[in-house]
Amino acid sequence: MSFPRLKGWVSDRYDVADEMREIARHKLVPVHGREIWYYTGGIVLFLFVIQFITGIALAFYYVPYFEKAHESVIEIVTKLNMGWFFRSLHHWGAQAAIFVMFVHVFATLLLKSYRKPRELLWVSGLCLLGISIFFGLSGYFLLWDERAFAAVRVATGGAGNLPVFGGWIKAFLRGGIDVTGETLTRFYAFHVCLLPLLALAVICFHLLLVQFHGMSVPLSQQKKIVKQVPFFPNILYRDFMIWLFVLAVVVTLATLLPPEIAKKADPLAPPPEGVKPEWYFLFLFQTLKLFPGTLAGMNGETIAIVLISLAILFFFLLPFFDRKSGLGERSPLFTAIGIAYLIYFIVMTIVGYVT
Amino acid sequence: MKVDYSFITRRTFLNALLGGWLASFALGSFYALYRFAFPTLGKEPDFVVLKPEDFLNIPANSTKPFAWGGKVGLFLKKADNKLVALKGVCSHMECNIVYKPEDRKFYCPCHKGWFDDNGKNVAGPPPKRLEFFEYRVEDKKLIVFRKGVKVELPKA
Amino acid sequence: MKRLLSQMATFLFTAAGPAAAEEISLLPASAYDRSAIYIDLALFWIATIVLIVLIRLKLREIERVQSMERKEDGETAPLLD
Repeated sequence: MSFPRLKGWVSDRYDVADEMREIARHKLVPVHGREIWYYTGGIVLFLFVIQFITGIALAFYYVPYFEKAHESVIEIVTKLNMGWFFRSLHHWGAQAAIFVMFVHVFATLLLKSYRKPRELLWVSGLCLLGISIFFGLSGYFLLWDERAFAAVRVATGGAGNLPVFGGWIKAFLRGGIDVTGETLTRFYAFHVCLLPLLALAVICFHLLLVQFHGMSVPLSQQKKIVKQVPFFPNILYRDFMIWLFVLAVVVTLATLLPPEIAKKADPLAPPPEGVKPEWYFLFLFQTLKLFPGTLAGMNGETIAIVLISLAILFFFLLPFFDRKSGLGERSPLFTAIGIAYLIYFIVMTIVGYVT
Repeated sequence: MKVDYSFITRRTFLNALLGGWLASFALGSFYALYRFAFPTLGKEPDFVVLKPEDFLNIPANSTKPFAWGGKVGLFLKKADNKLVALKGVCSHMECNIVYKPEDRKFYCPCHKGWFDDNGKNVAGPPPKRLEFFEYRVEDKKLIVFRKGVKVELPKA
Repeated sequence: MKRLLSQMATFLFTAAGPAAAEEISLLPASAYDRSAIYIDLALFWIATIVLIVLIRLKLREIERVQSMERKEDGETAPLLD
């Protein structure tokens, strides 16, 4: 099926096909022992596309007014053709996207892909992680059930404990002093408008940089590169196969484990028993729990949040601290730091889950 | 019959197979989205049940609206006290019509269409007459139904 | 002609799965609905795996040809082969 006349019509006006093909042909991917980690970024992109599609579908029917929000979700789930499925797919797509994103972050961390000249990829990537987590929080809240309400109260309250900016951030997120219907409207605007635009912009930047720099080769593999294969079609088809498999896994999870809908939120009621934030927040809250109420006369929570912020800031600026890998030398200290972050994250998440 | 050469190349075969399956996979998946995006395309009802006392005694030369599915229906008591039921929707572009008692005609404000009190389109763009319904009272219920529809209420 | 028939068959196969077995679904209520969901899931997996296999077939063919190191017709060779 080659449509020569259509192609002729286009090339008579926009004669760029040959240049584009040349550019595409030059995109090469190195083959070595760690190449499997290259696929994680593409998987996240694919999952984001799924989230966009299912999110738009849900936005057709969701009502962002706090009196009606919970009801509208129940209507989607019970009254619409396959409504339960798209909501479930949106939920599991989000979980999978954030999970694979953490895998991608830690893979690039331990393989030191952040080193010069790719520092901006690391920074933009972490921005995307932050955006995704905020996507998760705001999306979760839109259900307006007890658990989501309690979770957002705690999360925004926690943000409020940041020194200097905390109160302002809390008020900005909440749209007031407490979590109310105003917060819902605001979070809807974040989730449906602000965050998608921001995410699209940063993703475009991130992808552009990947095209510009090419794929980073870990220092340990640089002498062992077997060959370079063209991205089109070799790697692209592999990407498709992996994405299809990921799709099947997410669809299975969505079908067999649809997310629950708790009771409608009541701002005056106490939070339900054993309420926990989403799993990607657990490590933060476990860390907070490690600190006593007051430490050396100062508010323990503030100290905890300052320390956490410093740790996150260090994480952000890692490429600028890791001079050695920037020079192409082995940097075992930062490997150890990376492993420490990873282990801390995993352990704290698990501890937060079981307690 | 054996041939020395294959009718299609390996490349064509693979492309066709892959392309065909991919197309049907995508179609099947987007079919689910399509069903989701078009919920039960609301059909108009065949009949509605109302309370007789609300409509049988309206004053002469006036109308009273009732719900006909998502659209508006009107009971018109004509000047000679005859009661009729009709769909209060213009046959031109489906705007809601209004009764003008002084003219004894229905008026559609969207494009200035006029219907007489038998529903015939008398002035302006409307191409057809108004749709009239039949009604009857049964068991203290006022049933308004489309002409020719057999209505059987469940015994409550 | 053969292509057209095979395309139609695959379309009916995959689309008929989700279409036929369930029109409106909610969190499994009756056993009939529940089994419809599981059957559809199985059909979806089969369709996905077949698609993955076909893509792999295509990829292997491409790599087979590439390994013959054909001096290709230069810049005009198609990109997705």
